[in-house]
Amino acid sequence: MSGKMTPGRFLRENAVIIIFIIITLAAIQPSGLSLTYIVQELLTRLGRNSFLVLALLIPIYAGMGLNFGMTLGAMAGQIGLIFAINYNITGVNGLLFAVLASMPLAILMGYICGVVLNNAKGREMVTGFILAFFMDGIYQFFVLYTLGYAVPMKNPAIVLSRGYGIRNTLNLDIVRQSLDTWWMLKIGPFSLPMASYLVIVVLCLFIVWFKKTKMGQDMRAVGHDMAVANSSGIPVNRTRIIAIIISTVFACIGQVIFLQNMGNMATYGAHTQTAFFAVAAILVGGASVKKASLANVFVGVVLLHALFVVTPNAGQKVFGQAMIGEYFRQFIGYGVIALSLVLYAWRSRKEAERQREGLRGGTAAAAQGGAK
Amino acid sequence: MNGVNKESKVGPRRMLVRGGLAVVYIAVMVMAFILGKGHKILIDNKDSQDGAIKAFENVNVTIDSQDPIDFMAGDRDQTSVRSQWHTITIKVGDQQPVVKKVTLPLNENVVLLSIPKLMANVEPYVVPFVPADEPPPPADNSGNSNEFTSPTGTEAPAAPTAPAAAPTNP
Repeated sequence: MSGKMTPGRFLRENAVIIIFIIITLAAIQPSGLSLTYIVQELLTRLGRNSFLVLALLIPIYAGMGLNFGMTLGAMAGQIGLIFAINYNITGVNGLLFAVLASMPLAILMGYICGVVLNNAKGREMVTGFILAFFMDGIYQFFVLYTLGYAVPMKNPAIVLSRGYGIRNTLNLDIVRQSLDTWWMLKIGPFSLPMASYLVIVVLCLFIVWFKKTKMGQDMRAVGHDMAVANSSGIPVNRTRIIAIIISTVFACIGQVIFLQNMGNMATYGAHTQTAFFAVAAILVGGASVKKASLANVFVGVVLLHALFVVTPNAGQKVFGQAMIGEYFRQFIGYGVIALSLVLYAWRSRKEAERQREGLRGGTAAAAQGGAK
Repeated sequence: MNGVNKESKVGPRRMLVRGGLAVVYIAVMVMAFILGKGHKILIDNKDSQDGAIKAFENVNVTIDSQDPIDFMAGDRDQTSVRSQWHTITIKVGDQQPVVKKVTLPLNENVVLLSIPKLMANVEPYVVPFVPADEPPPPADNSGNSNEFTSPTGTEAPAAPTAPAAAPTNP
């Protein structure tokens, strides 16, 4: 995609961001929310969601598209949290325990996901999506029938009254916002969860560093062209599996950070929307299936959540029903993903046509030169 | 496109490093478990069961850096703490405060701490708390139906119940 940047091309390339900015700005006024409230919400949501969205970057570098399989990592994180609540491990130590307890499971899930995706090259996104549904069934079996039956659970507050299986909703009071409040900075009317930001900054630094390592370079090579990478001696399948494992582990940690901020956990449903909102955020930020950066993550989280904050109130004021705004969230989320994928496919086709025309033009010019 | 499949041999040094990392990983997890384990302490200022140790008329108890709690004879209060090891400062009436170190059992979520026994150094001053008649947790029927396996979430038909007794005239 080289060449001069025309206004039309700028609009085409940034269509999703521009649409989002227009809708959000239009919804702020009818929502009746103060700017202070909106900014505070965005600061909180940056700390809550950025880690999950950052988990999507490495598979994109490896050319595996948007990792819908990150739901597997989220499930692992939730299992870790269930154990932390079961053993009554409080505060940041509870989060650390949850992460460490769930990480081996996340690695295993990531490995399985990577192997499956290697057998579905070119269709990674839809395969990851369906794999997440499949693993959801296994997760539900594990949590609903195994915990408390095969795996002893000693906390009656989390076990179903029949004696095994975990309750529908878990109260995470003992770890609630423990990371956020660990180091809370007050600047004027705003509270900044600095510990959460610090964790996110560390992850960003890791990603920047990782891209420069041999493995990172291998991933970019694999993402660019698998055949060329294979010819140059890069173990393509292994590299792709590692990319998915890293993403799954980050998703696991991200889900723990997300849930500690929320303060409760829908045991059988908290993970189902994880990948959906993370993917929507990174696409809103201007990323595509093949290309993404750290900036896309933060722009996307801010824009998507700005819309999420203002639309329920705007829906209430404009239509008289807050539920309209809630439906609007879902509609916008799925709409953004669809629009981004369509735009990506359209741009790819245009680019391919332009390259073909260039080749034809080059051949024609050569033929004319030869005739002379 | 299977890539290059090299059989890499792991040297003893690398094995040692990996083993060390695994040990550190488990050690951090155990540390998080021990330091983060929450306990509820029921602080008791009552006579011992045999009546040998009497409750204090007025005592002030501070656990770690929490707010102090005042107790009259026969009082009981509760507080939540994290980790096993705690410093308890006890001030009886106008006397000088006494500082005691207490270690809670790791596996007990709720323990009973007797201040008179602690002051008298009579073991056991920390005992697991067993409620006499613990009410069952509120029923959650979410696991009893097939709502997780069926998209429609249909409930199992209710079991037939005995017919209600016929109303009697007063």
